[in-house]
Amino acid sequence: MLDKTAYKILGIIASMSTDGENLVVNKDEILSLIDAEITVEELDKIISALEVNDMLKILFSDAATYCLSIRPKGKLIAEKNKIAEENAIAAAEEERAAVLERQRRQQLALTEPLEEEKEGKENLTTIDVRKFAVICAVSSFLGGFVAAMITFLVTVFK
Amino acid sequence: MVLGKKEKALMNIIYNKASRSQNGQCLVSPLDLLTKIPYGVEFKETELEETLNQLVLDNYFDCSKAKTPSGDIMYCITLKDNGISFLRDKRVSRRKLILRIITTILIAALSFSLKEILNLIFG
Repeated sequence: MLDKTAYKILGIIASMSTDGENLVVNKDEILSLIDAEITVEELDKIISALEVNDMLKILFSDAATYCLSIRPKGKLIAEKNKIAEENAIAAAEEERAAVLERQRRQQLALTEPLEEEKEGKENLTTIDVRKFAVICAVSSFLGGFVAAMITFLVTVFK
Repeated sequence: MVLGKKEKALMNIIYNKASRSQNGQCLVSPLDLLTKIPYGVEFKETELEETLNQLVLDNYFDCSKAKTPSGDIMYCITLKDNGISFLRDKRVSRRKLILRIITTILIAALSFSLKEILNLIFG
């Protein structure tokens, strides 16, 4: 049964072999490129499993080296996995960007009302003073006008 | 099967390398092969692949070209029936040659002695 590590190894081998040519590779080189910690024996087992599943052909193998030929099935699966991995990375990046955008909006939503409030307060005080001044001016004018009219009328009809 | 001088030299090198492993396989670079060819044999770099192909056609071994991640070419060679019996065939053909030489010498000696006997009788 092939696990995630096996597919990872298949991907590494596929990426190393150019134009489907046979590949000579050191076992240590493959092991250094795998994230998971596996021994040479485990690697041998995985490579054999890949050969059994018709994904690879072992042309030569000794204690330190492999000469491998990647089969069409293996190439296809490696290609599919690569595309899936790229899609997953792109989706993760998109999701991260969306989360960042959401966080940014939330921050903005928290900070914006305060600023508006602040601005509103400032506006209110300024508007109040202006209104107050205008009201005072208009009411004093009207009061004076009414008083003048009354005085005028009293003097006319006297 | 009769091999030429170049083919024999190349086959000797490949047999020595491949026969060390259990399954008659070896991984060898063109440079490895060329450096081990005896100075007495005139062997050009361009003739290597042609000679290998001839030996493949003669069913001595199976040869696959492979590349390392750094781009160096390597030959993955697996001995076949004729290749596995190469040393034995070589010994047998040498023994046959020696026998043939001995037989020739013996026949020559016999002829000479017969001539001498006939000379003594009728001469």
